[in-house]
Amino acid sequence: MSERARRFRLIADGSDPTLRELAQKLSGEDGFELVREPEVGMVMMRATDIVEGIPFNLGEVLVTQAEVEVGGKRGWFMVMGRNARRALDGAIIDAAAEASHPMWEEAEKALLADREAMARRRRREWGEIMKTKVDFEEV
Amino acid sequence: MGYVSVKGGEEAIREAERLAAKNRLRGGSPLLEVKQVEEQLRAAVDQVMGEGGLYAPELAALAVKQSEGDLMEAAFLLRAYRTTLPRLGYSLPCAPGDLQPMRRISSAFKNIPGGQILGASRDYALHLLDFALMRETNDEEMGEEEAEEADPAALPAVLDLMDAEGIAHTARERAEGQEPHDVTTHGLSFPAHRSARLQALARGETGAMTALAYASLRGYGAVHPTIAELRVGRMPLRVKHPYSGDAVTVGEVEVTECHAICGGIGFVGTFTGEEGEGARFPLGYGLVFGRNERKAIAMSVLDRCVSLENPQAPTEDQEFVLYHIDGVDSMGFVEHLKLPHYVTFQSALDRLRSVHKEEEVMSRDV
Repeated sequence: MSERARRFRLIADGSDPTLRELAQKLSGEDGFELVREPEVGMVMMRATDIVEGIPFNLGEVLVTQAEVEVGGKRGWFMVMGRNARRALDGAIIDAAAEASHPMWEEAEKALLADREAMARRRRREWGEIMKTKVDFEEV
Repeated sequence: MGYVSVKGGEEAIREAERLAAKNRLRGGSPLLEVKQVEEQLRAAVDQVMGEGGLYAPELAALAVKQSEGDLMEAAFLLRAYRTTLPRLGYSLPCAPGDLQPMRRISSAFKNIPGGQILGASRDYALHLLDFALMRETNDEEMGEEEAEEADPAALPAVLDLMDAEGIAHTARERAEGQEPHDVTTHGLSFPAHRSARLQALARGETGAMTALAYASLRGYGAVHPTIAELRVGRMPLRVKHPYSGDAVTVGEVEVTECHAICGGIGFVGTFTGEEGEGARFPLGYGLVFGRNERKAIAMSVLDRCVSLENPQAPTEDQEFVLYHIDGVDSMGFVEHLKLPHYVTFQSALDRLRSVHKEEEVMSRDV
């Protein structure tokens, strides 16, 4: 997996407030340039059926994407739903990291903390789900 | 009295729309927030997303609010909205194994690896009105006990185990390089390719699909499956990163999936299997947006129905099933009957009146 893809996953795990805060810090005084205005559109979601293994179009998913330049480097991000703010923040963070922003290391720590918090929520959710696991008894 | 074509009525139409809007708020209760619909009427939101063919919980909730709970109308609103949006691309095909389940049950096998996990379900509750909800307040505690944390586990598909035993064949290998048909851009033609059939079923109207699947189960068709596995869970939306070309996960889409074994109880037909491979259970597949178990099961039944080589019943006729399960098509056609038909009806009226005259003349002659 490339650094871009790894970073995308990390940013995608960040909460809205974290992304907002990091984007403000990382765009700094020079700010950012818009390469592509946040754009709301659709991605056709494809699935593979289990009977013949063929792909089919399940349906479209509403997404927003944005592309910016920070410090001469480009960043791109896409989110589900209509959320120009989050798409833009994600793109700014991606671009700043690509431009080796001095604060990236600190930003990475904040994103990793969000990832851990999300993983905990998922573990708690799964723990709750596992309480509904059926325990059969022979009669 | 004469029947003639007319124009006009703009003012009356405006007033009718104004009155409809006013009626929504006439009761004076607190305004319904879209977020409330999204979070508390989730079955409606999920159904609308599936039938609208657009996964967008917030907008589906808005459509439910705008249509005052008319779900077919809400799906229509969502489909109309999607025509205004650009298609930015296609996801990488996700496979059944990508689904992180929040619920999975099997009606075919009692003991399945990973176990039967009911998840959030009211399947086993009595269908009685809960009057306590009339007095519900935000202060009420759900009384939940703190659950222990556990790492979400990958659960092997029941069908894979059947495949290993040689009693069902699943396509473990993805058929590479096949570009699926897209019924939103090219419409349906018959016989329809399997990818077109699955797409049309995935965006079909829940009630119509339930009715047709029920008809098959009752004998107006030959498919009566046993459910190998029904799953509700999250499926990742993966796209290619435009810079690196790597797969990245943009988010997760809640889906319901059904694997149906189309043999066994009530089964009429033959087992399938390539020559020399031995007899196997034929399968049906259902995958729909959101939590909509009824539709996913109906889809798996109808998938098998419209895949039969020798259709014997209307529920096995591709054109009959796939054209009539589309909610927007069917509601549009049925409801267009409300619109002025003054000219076409006048010609029918003229014919009937001339028949009356002929009858009158003939009775005089006699």
